[in-house]
Amino acid sequence: MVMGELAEKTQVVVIGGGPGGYVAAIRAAQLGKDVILIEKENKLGGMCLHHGCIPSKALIHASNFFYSIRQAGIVGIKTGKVSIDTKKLQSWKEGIITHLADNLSKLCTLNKVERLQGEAEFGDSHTLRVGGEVVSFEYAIIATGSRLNELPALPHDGKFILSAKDVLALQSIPKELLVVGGGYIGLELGTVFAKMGSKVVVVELQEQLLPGYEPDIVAVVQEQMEKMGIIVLTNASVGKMVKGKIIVKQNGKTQSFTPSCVLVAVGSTPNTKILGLENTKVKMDEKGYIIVNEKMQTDEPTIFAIGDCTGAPMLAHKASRQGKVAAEVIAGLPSAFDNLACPAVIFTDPEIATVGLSEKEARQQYDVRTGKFPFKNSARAMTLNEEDGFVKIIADAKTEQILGVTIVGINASELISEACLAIEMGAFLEDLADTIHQHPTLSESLMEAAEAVRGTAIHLFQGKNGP
Amino acid sequence: MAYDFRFPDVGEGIHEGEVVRWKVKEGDKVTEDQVIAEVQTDKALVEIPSPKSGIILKRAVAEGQKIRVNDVFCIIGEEGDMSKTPKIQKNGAKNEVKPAPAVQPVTKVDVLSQMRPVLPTAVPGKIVATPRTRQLARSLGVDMNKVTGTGVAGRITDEDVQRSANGVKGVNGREGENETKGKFSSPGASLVSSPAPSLSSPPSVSGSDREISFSASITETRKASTVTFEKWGSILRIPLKGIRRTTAEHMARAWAIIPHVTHMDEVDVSELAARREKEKMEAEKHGYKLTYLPFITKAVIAALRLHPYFNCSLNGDEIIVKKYYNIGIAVDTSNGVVVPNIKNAEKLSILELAREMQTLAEKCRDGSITLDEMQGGTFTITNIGSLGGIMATPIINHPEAAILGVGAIREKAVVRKGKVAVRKIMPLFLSFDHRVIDGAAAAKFVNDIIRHLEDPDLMLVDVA
Repeated sequence: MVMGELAEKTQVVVIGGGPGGYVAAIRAAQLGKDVILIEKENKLGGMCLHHGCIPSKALIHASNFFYSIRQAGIVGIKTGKVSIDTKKLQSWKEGIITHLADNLSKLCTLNKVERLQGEAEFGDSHTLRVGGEVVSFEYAIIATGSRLNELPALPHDGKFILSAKDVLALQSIPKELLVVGGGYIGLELGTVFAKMGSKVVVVELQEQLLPGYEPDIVAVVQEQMEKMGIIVLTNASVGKMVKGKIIVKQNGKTQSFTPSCVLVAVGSTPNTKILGLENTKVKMDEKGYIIVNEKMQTDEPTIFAIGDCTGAPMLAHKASRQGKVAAEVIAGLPSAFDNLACPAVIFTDPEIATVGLSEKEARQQYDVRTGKFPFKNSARAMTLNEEDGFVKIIADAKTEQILGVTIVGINASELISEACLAIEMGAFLEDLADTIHQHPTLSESLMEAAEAVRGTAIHLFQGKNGP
Repeated sequence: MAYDFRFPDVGEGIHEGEVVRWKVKEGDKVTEDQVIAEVQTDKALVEIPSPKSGIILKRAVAEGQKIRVNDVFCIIGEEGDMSKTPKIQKNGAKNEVKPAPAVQPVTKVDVLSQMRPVLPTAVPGKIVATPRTRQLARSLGVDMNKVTGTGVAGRITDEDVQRSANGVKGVNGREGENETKGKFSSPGASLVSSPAPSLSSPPSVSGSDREISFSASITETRKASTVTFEKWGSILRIPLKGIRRTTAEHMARAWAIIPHVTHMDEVDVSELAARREKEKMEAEKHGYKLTYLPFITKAVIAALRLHPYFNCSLNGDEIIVKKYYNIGIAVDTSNGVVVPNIKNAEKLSILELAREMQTLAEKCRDGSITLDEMQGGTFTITNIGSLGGIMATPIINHPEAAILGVGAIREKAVVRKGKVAVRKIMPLFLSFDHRVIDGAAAAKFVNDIIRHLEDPDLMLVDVA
């Protein structure tokens, strides 16, 4: 700090205005702290609101809508020629984002959270600098998130080689889209454009799409993707681009593609290098993630860190929860990030939602029983003409405690919440099975899957299973 | 084959210790039964012998660190095993971190988004408790790993957590524990007398709840302070370890759990002084110093026989009255206060008590006192008189129910039969657990002690 410089004093400073940072700021303010929220953009919401979760969900909704109109004949609806006005679609999407960002600004104002725009740089464990301003703080919460990775051979150029952020802002529907990376971003956006008429090819280096997910889940989604014409290449890698031509190697063979554009979606990197953290005792691991304990405290007693910059899984809702924990710990409350259940959702067609342990993980430490209820046995799924997928419940064979739930199917993203609550509360199969589920709904399938573990599902023949 | 030597159960009720000194280095050869380390448990130093001959491949715990029973203590291998780097499996289930379901696209080009398994921090099924109960446990400083759940399939209820915070045994007999996880323990506590405001202590919780203030005080001694004391001047940082640490935890526990009341009185020990003068010579012939303590002990035991509740422990829903009298004597050592006890003191004569006290005190001072000599006490006497002082409010040696303090004997002008007389007066102060003992009972108990001390002959008649 230069002599004569006037430091702004605050109790809590939050760096990053994404779903981790703004939540931490508001919670700290609710608990009576003076809070400054620093965001390098002029709007709040971070990657999630502006270039991730929200815009992608808007496009996914639009593409589903469009796709179902084209399938309307199945239920007897006759339609004429249907087309997409991409400019209108983009402005509708932008409108949602603007509205949500404005709301966040208002919420911060109402909660008396002061805002500073710029990039923060730590001076020491009690001061940081934002542009020309010096802020002295009692506690800081780092919520700087992550940024999308590039491939060295195919760096994003914003025109031909695109990031997820670029693709979400496309003003036209590409004729051919090559997606590099068969993770959730690649699959969600690949599906969007396939449904809107693009020819889509997905290239994944590993032997299956969505590496880490269980094969029975992936199979359902891949079948649907292939039905809508997406070409899936696993065990495949992309070579260099030569004059708009991209070579893909698979099992020793090579194919070349001449796509309209390429989406490279290969994960994210934490934003922790720009912070002047070397002036503090904050420690990072070998991958650049900030090391924290379950109270979100770093090795520097005055500095906390939450969200993507502290490690995988990089999920907005995890960051939000951690933001609340950090703010509450600073306010002296006995909070900790000790959640048993952190759900993960993928908005493919059908959707995938998981919470708790996967079957494989559960089998490594428990004697496990599972129950699977297919949506083709659900009356409601039939009336929605969406019968793909299933609900699978993984339970401890001995105690019958629910360890994990996987849902593949329509509205899996919403259905999973009941499972999250069940796991967080330590529920047993009976708790789910004996709760009345409203008929006719998709949620009945959770009840049926719980019963299926015990061999007593009604809408699935399982024979006699008396005591 | 490398062998994981897990920290053994060194004595009844001891579930953790602190490694004070390693006597072997990694790579050293050891023989079976060779002492490899010294571990401070409760208040005694225990030597840990090697369970087998071999080579110390890895010391799994650093000096000054705590270790729990069944945690890996060290890894012993055979010659030639040195090249392999052994992996240590922790015993505590809660710390097992399992990778969360992959959400990021994980491809080989995508090294940075590979899972760093930080989430979930807990695993479904390991500890069954609702978020509310877990929050309660944190606010009371209760380690959920140590709570015995009484609900369905071991579910931990709010009541289980409360019981654990009160230090009461659960249904299955596992003692409740109140320590915070070592994970967050600080390497040292600062030497500043004012309590360091700790981030994790819950200042908003009402101070009327003893368990809460207890958890706060424990965590305060255990957690790195978030306040920079250096800001106000130079300081010294001394790690909290050994007897000091044990004392800190033990006192915080006792103070938090037991509602203390201290009853105070004076006793005229003029007759006793004369008696002691006579018998002192006799003791010295046998090589013992005869202090007032053996006489006080006799009087206390006489009173304990008349008032058995002062020799009890409150244990959950039960009051356990002990029919043996293991009298603890607080001994001041250079490392801090230590309380060995004289087993079955009721069976010993004045001279035998004097001898026992002297032996135990010497053992405390030269550090050779054993765990067995420290455990199983039923009532404690603390003598501050040798250092001066009139009154004090001693903290009960949990799980005992009362502690008697004695002050310095002074000649005082007192009124006897309408005349002023010079008498030797000794102050007595008795702290008792008001959960099991009432003030009237305490007064009667102290009156009986006084009666015996004022009339030493009575003491001899009473206690055979």
